[in-house]
Amino acid sequence: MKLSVSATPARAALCASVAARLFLSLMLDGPTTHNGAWFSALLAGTAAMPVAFLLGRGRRPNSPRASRLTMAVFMLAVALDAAEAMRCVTRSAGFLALDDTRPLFLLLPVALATLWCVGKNGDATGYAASVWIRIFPLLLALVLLMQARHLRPRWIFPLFGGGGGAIGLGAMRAAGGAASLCGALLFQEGDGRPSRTVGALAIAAAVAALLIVFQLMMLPTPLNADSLSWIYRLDGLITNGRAPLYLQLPMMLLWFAALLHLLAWDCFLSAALLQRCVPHINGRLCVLIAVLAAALLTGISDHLEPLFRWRWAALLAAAALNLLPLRTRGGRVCAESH
Amino acid sequence: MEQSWEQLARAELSESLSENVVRFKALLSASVNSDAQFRPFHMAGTRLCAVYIEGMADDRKISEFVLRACAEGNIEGGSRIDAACLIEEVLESAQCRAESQVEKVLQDVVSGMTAVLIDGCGEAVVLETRGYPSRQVGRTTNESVVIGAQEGFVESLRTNMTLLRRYVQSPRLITECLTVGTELLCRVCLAYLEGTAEKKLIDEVRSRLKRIDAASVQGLGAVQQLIEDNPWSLVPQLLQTERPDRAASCVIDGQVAILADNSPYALVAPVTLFHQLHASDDSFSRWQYGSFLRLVRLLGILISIFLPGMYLALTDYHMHLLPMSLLGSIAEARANVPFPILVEILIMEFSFYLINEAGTRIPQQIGSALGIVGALILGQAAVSASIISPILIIIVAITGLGNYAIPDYGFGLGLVICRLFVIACGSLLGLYGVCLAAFCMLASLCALRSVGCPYLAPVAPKRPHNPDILLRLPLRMQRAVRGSWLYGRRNQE
Amino acid sequence: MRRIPLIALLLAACVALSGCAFRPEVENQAYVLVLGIGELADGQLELTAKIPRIGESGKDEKEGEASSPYQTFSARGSTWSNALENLQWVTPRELNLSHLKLMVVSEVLASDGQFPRLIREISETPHLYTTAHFAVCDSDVAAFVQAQLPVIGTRLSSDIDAAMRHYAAHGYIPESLFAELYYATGSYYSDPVAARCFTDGDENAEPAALIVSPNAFAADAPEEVSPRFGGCTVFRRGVLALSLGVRETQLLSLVLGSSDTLDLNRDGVPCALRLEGRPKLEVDQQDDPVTVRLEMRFSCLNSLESAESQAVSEQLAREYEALIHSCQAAGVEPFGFASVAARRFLTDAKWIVFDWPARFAQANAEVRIAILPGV
Repeated sequence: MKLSVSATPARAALCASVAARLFLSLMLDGPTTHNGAWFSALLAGTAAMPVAFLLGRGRRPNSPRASRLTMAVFMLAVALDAAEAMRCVTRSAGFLALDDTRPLFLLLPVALATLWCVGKNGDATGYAASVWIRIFPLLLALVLLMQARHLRPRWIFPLFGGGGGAIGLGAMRAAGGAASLCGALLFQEGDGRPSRTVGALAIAAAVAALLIVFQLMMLPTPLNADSLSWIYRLDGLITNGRAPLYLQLPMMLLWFAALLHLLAWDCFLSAALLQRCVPHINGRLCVLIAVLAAALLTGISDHLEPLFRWRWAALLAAAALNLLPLRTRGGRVCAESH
Repeated sequence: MEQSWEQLARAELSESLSENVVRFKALLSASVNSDAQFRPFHMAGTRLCAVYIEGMADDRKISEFVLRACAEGNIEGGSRIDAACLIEEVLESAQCRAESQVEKVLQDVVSGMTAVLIDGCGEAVVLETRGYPSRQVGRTTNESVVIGAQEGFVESLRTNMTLLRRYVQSPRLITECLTVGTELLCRVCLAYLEGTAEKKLIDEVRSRLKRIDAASVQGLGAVQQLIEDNPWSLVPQLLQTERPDRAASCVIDGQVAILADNSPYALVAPVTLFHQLHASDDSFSRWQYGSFLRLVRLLGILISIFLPGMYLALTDYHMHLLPMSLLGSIAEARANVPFPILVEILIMEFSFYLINEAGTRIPQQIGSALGIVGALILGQAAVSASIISPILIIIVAITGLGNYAIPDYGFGLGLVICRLFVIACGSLLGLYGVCLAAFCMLASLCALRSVGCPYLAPVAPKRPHNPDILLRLPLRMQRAVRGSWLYGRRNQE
Repeated sequence: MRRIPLIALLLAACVALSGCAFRPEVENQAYVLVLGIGELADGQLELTAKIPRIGESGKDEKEGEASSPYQTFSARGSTWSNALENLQWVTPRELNLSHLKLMVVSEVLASDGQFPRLIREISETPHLYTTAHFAVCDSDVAAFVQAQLPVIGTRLSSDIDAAMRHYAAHGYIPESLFAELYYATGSYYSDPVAARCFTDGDENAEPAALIVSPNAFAADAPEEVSPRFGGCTVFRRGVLALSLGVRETQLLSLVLGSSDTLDLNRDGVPCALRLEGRPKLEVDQQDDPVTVRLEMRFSCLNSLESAESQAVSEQLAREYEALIHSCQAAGVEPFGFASVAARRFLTDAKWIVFDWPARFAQANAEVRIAILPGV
């Protein structure tokens, strides 16, 4: 089985997963930005655009070696991202109801579900995201409608929260995740114009910023957000006691669906890139390896924080490397590869 | 040397009548087969023999259009009589043709036609004399509508083709007949609107029908299973309809309808999820009513899939999402029930399917007894005996109603299995499990294809289409986008 | 066909490994509806939980028993988790805190410097969703919880909701959720408020003097102990810093937006006011000390002469100024001026350095009340 994806479903998956990734990175994994998180989301979306543009330009790479290296870098980045997403799914499940269940047993069902979905290939994963994109606004509208009375617009001030440094650091961290999700540009079929991908990124960043603003209106900014646990922040997002308890139902659906689409796209990308890095490997095996790797990395993704911070720079460099006409041993510029 | 059945069948007709008669008697096992009839007669000094199957062919038509026509035929004695002469000058039947292949003649004879074998001629004349008993066109049984046509397909292929043509009175309607099966042949008809249906689609369906290598194909049910894209999928990838108007509407939209002998319904290909959700009423009614009914149906389907699983997840894992007053009622109702909620749900679901299945098989005369049994045993007695809580009866009843709102029977059954999957996931992992189950189902639907057409088109992938997917907007807003959206090319008329 | 064993294996793995252990069924749980948290003289925490009896409804009618459909359990412990564990032990069913409707804390405990830690511990308790109403009790918390019974409705859970909504809509208490207190405690905006409650039959308690006039309940005072709500408390960094009476609470509720009507009694003539639009809060940060401005417009439901209107507005302005001054004296700011002031700052650091609590304590207060012609 050859893992492939067409341009349209790839864009849908990119849009859905980048929005989820930015929100996750800025509101749960990296809270230092405080009220400035919305700005970090916009910056992160913007920072991911050059990577997407370079990847789009480099779809016909000058050197197969460079291309393979680029793919390998992206593969590692999305594998890490998948691990982060999987960890988030299992921790959310544990927090919401299954706190007496061991983490491994929370991990297994999501790994199986991901295996099943990604095994259906890229178009299915992408089209599932495009269906989600249509359902998402309805669910969100429902949540906002029920939550409207409890939203406090004044809580988004001071507007830039943690200040320039924190915003930049948050944006850098989130941009690494967003940029890695553009990896499909390296192999997707059909219309791969970078402008369209950049457009999808812009929409995703705007949506993420909007969601962050809504979330900021729901909770007063904590004095010392850095000391707050991940669970505190998840609690504030999903089981926030300021909103009626029944709101948790649509919130849970929104949260899990967004995370599962992010996870599926991450795993698909890492599997597809693995298939292109290692010739003659079966697609199903790649999917299995990608999901297993995500599950295994889940345990240590907490310790990889420094890596996440510099992921964006690595991806930008790798995307630029893909454009370079690296010379082969014979001194001739390699012809088009694939 | 004695020839095998296959050798006899594959031969050409001989010029000797006796030889042909012997051959057909052997092929039809006339010595033991009491309804294989061989009626010899003479005409202008030439010996002829009418071969037909009693009961399948109409005796009156044979007497009138063959025997009497030949007796009164204006052919001079001693003239050479051949198939062409008979067709042109003697036989009064509208449908007759010359055939020299034994196998084809034999197939026509067993399908109710009459073959006239002529001495001295290597061709037989095959006449349309079918006259077997068949059901009259009547009301539909499974796809009833409040407004709109009431007639449904019957078991006769010919009648079904006529019904279809009555709704699509266009010279571009092609009804292409094929036979499927390697031993017992089944006549099927491929109906499509030339110029509207994509050639790729027609070729694909035709080739899939031709590729069927089953020895016998028992009706369209078997055809459906043999030509669908993914036999492992829980949802059918072809639409079954017993309504000629619905089949006609699909044909007009560029889809292909498949009809078959002895199948009182048509198969439509390709279809999408949205076709499965639509009913004929929708297009007969004004757009507001049609849209409303679709929303009700969609809600019914969602309830049918998720309600028991959600109930289980909420009451076992996320009870805080239920208002305390409702939770109190549930807890009060369950106070004396000895089973866990999962077991309770499974008992009720199984009982529901049992009643459903029994209701289908039970003789009509005692059908009302089933309602009494169901209502008393499951409703009253089970609650009184504290085996089941009343709230669960409401849950299962609403779920069942939701399932009945699904127009397609096969699709409804597929969703029942999905429901069990959701129940299992909900009982193991709560809402987390329900979300995972929904995600898997969504991905499966996205990967599914119906004769190459994405099952979720035109939503995923997005394609130009009429505003007639979930909601049905006014007819004047419906652009004439036909067929092409199924495969992703714009072809507006 | 190769897929069948694979699918079967995966499903079996799901079932076997999902960790679906024994889970108590919905009817086998003790749903705590009201939880009282008091502090004993020896420093121990005392938890009192009001729990509905499942499967008991209708039994009274059949068997003529006089038992209440609710039960009360109490337990003590040195810490929150210890007390909760003990409560779990005395309750013969699995304790379920997910439907907690009202959390009542004794005034002594709320005034304790350790209370913020307790807030944090409570909020981190699994499945204790912080949507419960929150009140500070002047009198015996255990007696208050014990006295909680449906007054008008048939279910305590809906009765509490209805009562709290009713009292808040009239401004007798502020809208007060535990979540509001929890999140605001660690935040840098205005200080959170909580409702006050007491049992009017408790002679040891001193609610009447502080909250309402002593004979306020004379007309309908029942013979038995009856729980009451009225007034509010303001917390500073999670510790009770100020208690306000019903009148002050009504004024505060108008500013906070939880109520929009106010009844005045001028020389025996009743005057019903309705708030028009939202109260306008302004902070002038250029001044030193800063100036806080409160602007409110009321319409009068009775017809008032212009002179009377002027007098009413002056009276209200005086009352508001007094309220602001008492808050300044206590070092709390429950009005919402903080988030107005925060708009002028771009980053958290600058806002925190500005030190709003200290600025507010020194601030000049300007109150403008306008009474519009009646309808």
